[in-house]
Amino acid sequence: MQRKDFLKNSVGMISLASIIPAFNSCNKEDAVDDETSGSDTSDGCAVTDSETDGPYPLYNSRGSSIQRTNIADGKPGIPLNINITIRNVNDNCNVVSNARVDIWHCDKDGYYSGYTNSGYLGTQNNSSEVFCRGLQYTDASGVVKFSSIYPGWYSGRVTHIHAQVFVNNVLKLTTQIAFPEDINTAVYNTTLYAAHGQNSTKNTSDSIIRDSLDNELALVAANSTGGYDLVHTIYIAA
Amino acid sequence: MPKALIQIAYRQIIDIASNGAFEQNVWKDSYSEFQIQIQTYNQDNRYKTWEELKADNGKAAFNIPYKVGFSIGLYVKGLNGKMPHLQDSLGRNHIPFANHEFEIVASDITNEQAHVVALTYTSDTLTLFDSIGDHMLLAEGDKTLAGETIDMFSLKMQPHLSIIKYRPL
Repeated sequence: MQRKDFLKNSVGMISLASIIPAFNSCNKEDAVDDETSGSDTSDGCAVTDSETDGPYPLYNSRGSSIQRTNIADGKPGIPLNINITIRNVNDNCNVVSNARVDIWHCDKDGYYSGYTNSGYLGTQNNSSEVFCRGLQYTDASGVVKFSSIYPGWYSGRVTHIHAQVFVNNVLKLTTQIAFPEDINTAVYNTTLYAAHGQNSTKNTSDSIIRDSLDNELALVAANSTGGYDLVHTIYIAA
Repeated sequence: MPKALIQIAYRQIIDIASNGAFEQNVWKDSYSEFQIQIQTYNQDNRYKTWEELKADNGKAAFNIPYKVGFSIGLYVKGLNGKMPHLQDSLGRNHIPFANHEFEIVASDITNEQAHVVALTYTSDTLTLFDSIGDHMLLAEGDKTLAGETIDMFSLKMQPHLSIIKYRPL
């Protein structure tokens, strides 16, 4: 879809306010982070031919314990449906199909799977767990979908989801997805999340996200089944 | 009378020459995923080998192995909790493991033959009744209070097998 068509078609579905960040994001460099420390930067400007052979998802996924759509692994939390579209700034912001999208986030108490980490409930060895981690390949509409739980938070960071995008097995972008502040507040007031209380770090004070809110803030809305729907577009240069 | 409660660990090295479907799948898919995951820390192509990157970047040394480990998670699950290759004295493949740890021993983004990984399988509690020569006489679980007939097996000490926890009784 051409960008003008995308904008035209989108007006009926989402607010103008949500389009403006998407517009800006075509020129924005995204922060790189990982769950374990610090930040870095990446411009992901390598140009690749979107017509070349795609990756081999079936081959790559045979042994993967995280290539799946339901990533909650039974972890308690408010359900979160995640819908991410990948678009290519080097191709008029058209959608990118068959891109590998990896996401990961902490559980409702702020703990990650995959390794031993500490938080407000003490130290947890989650090295044999894969909760709240997933990877999918984008469909013909450039979309990946995951079902998970609304992430909690840990000291020093605002609520976020990590995302990495690969095209033809080449890393194009490492980024993060932020949540609207009012929804974070509402979720952390619910029974399931209340034990940890409210996070004093906000989007505007978070060291990684505060300068990227124009393109990293997702649309998140309550749905009719008691959960939330997250819709976000990630722009890569591929 | 049992002598101790123990846990054992068995480290399986997997390289290009390893036989068996499990080993070949682990080797192949972990190499593909290594090439995916290393990119986060090698955007200027400074590093060719895992050893170079690991020595230079502590964050990569920590993050890459567990992320590559996800790519072979279903293969490990397919072992159904039994340590591969490790056999008791009757040649049975039933030694149970409770946890596993994936490790990248060596790798090279330009040479798949250099790719070597290891899986260390750790047992749950075993009861050690005796040792006869280089064989351990074992039972699964804590059998110190068992009053009835106990299912036992004997296991030969061998390279890459070690007792990692020992509680004398």
